[in-house]
Amino acid sequence: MSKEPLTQGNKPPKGLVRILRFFIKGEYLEEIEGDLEEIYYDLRITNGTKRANLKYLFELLRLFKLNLIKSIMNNHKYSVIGLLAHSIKLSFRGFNRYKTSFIINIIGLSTGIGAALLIYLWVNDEYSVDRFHKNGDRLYQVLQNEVVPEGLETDFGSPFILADQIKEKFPEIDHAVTIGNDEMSRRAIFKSETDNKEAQARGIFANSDFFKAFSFSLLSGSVDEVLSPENAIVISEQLAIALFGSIENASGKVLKANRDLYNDSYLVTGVFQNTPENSTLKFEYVASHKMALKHEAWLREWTANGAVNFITLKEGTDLESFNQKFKSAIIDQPYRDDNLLVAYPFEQLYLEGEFTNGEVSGGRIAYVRLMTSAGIFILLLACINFMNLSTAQASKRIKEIGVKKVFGVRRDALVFQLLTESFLITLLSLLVSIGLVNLLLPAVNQVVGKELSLFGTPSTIGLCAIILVAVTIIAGLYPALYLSKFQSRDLIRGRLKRGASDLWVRKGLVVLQFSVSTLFISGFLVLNNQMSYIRNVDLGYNRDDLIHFTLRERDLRQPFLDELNKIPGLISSTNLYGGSIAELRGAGGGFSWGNPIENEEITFRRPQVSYSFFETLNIDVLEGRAFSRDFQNEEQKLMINEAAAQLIGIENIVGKTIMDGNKEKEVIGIVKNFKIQSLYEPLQPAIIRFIPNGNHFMVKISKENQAETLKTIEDVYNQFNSDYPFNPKFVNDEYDQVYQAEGKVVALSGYFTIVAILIACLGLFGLALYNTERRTKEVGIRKVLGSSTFALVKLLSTDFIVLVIISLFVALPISYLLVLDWLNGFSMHYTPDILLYLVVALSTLLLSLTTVGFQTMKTSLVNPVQCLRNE
Amino acid sequence: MKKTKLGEFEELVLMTVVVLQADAYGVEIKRELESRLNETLSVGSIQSALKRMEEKGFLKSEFGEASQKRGGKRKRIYQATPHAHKVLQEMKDVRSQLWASMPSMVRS
Repeated sequence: MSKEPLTQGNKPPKGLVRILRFFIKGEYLEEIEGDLEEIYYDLRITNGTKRANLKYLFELLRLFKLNLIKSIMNNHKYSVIGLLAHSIKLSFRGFNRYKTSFIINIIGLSTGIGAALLIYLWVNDEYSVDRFHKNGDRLYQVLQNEVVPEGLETDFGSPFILADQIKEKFPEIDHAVTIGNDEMSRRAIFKSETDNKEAQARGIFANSDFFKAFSFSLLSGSVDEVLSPENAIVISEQLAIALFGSIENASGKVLKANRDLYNDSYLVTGVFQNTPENSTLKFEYVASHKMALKHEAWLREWTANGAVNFITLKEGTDLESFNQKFKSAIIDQPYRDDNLLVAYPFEQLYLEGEFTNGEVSGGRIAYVRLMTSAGIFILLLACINFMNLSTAQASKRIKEIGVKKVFGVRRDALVFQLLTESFLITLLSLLVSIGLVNLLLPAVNQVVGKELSLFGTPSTIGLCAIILVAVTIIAGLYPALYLSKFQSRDLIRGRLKRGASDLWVRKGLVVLQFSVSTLFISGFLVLNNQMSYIRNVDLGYNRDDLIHFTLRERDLRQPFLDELNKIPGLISSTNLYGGSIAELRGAGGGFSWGNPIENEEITFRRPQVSYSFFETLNIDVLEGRAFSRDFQNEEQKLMINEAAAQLIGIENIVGKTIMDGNKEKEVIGIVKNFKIQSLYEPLQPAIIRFIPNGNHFMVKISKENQAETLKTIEDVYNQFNSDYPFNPKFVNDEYDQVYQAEGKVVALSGYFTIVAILIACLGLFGLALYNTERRTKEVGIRKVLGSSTFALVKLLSTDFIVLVIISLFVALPISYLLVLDWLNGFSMHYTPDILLYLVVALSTLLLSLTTVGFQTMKTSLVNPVQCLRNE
Repeated sequence: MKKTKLGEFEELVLMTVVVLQADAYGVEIKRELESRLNETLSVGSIQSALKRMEEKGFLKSEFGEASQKRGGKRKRIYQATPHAHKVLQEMKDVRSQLWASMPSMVRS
């Protein structure tokens, strides 16, 4: 190609020419470049450089025709793309050749990645709870720290009338919200008089700041006004459709409520979108709090906690200094002189909602952290597997790499090729695991009670990309460097000098892998044991065959109970206030004896029960008697438990009186301690009051024909025409419900333990496979010389078993310490014994023996002729 | 008629190549066709058509001389093959037959 010199200024812009040269096919380049230059030259003379440049660019763009540009793959052997294509081709040949290790790698990595993905989805969902409020960063729940002898006790509730008061008092507060507490969040029946439809819904009372502070979006009605009228009610879209057929129809209509909402009429002022799944506040209607105040006088009292209060602080407010002032906001109110208020970030409350002595001490975050580390460890296990297998495979691939080296392939190119291989394996595993996760998700959702979806969370794509890169590098880099570092002459001769360090690395990895799996196994067993311990612990009452349900209509309760007791399969029945025994609420002070000033503030559990309570629940009366129909005025009497008797400290207390508020009541009996709330809390003193007509019923039925008995109870219930359906639950189930969070974690950790074991065993299996294959000749010779099969198996397995034993020694003490730490969070916990660790050790050993033994056995049984002739 | 397709634009380019004879290279073809069609064409569309037709056997080409204007790059001179001449003739015949059988109203 002859080039005549040209002045610099005549030439088209260099950058554009370079682009042209990059994408136009080589054989057309000279002609097309020449054409463009000619046009450029002519145009520059007539219209100037600027126009010519523009024209050049325009023409350049129009040159992108399929038959003019270079194809991506063709004739590109020396570019990056060509190299990549070559590497991919070689990788697939490799996969084809070493099928076993390929399959082991895919299974190991895909289960590992799948487990990690599932854990991520769960963790991500946990972190999304309550995080959707626009004001989230300045939204706080008002907690009360009550001064008790042991320090501070944190209470989530607060007075119903708190919000308005503090909003006036503190200029930093933007919105102050009152929401009725659990007890005030009622299931009511609404009737639309215009449309003549009925629907049941559970909702809350709230003041007018509610929709301003929280981001529950309104489909109709304005945020500022919906809760202003006294009889305002805002309903969910679901309820709107149930009652009025459509959202548009609902506004301005009148709803008549049943007795749970005071038999009053309400004006529908707005409709809100159904509360999202990841909100801890769930409700189907929001009624103005003024209505509750109108009908229930006690809510105006400072002594009562009828609400949960929230505030948003104005932007830029310092929480620390605000809390300093806020602390003493209500101590001048009656009976509130040692209630310290504190504003706690609402977004954090879900995950970090347990307090000891006024300080955050954990909560669900513990499970989230546990799961996160489980996910990371499982992924790490899978990576280690891959590393181990690839390096162990070295002896087989040595010739391939040696030939390449002889042909002058540089080390970086080799590393690139090996990394491509691990990238491809990771990519394939990722795809497999995505399929797997998709398949398993419905089952997992059932276990964890969530609605997780792989594609619903956009961040999953990012995570997949991160996993892809991280696993490729973590799992692939060491083998790539390891395999490519040998000298070519050693490689060709097939003589591999493995340094002691390589061996240590590999052994170390196996030890690490088995240590982690041992941690998983022992952790899971302890978790499981603790859960069954909780289920079977002596709670002081017998909850077998115990049914709980409610009857809301007060007048029907006594006649219903009388009717109930006639049922043959029924052993005993009672009713009480505050909920099922499994989740009984209600604690407070107000009792006094001796010197009233000293002890009025001591908190007692305060169950309010009726006749036959102790009989139905099999709680032993130690001294005195239980509430009974044989006596009059039982309302004026109290029973206490052992802990309370000890605390009060009056000798022979039965028959003496203590003050309940300003009433003097006689203590008629002492009962054995029985567990009233979470097992995390120590046994608490309880004072049991008598109230007939409680709304919760506890019924003990005989073991025989339970289905029939239940049916009869339902029939009796239906005779009374309650507005509410019969809702029986076994107390055992309710009890499990209370420990649901732990139950879920146990179930999940069970699955992940299996995954961890599977991965570790796969790794061991792979290693055993290569090791024995390498030693087939040795085995053959030994056999010829008369070695027994057993001796051979022993010979081949010892190395691995030693490694597993070492990892047991590493992992068991660590797991013991971790487990002890976790168990201390429970007031009642079982102590892990030596037996458990024996079981863990034995099962790990057995598993690894089977894994290795299977392979070594196979090798040992081979006819020596076959392995020796193989040359 | 042979099934090797000749598109409308390709046919125009092919005929221009025949018209220009020894001058038939990229820029000249573009210039000639632009003046006849009275519209602007891009180098890309001309070149793409040329390469396609060369592939289909309507054109053959060889390098011509270089010039200073072209920065020292050689031209590629195109020439229609006998096959191309035959196809052009066939297409013309088909067209004129069709014209002949059209009602006079349209023709005017």
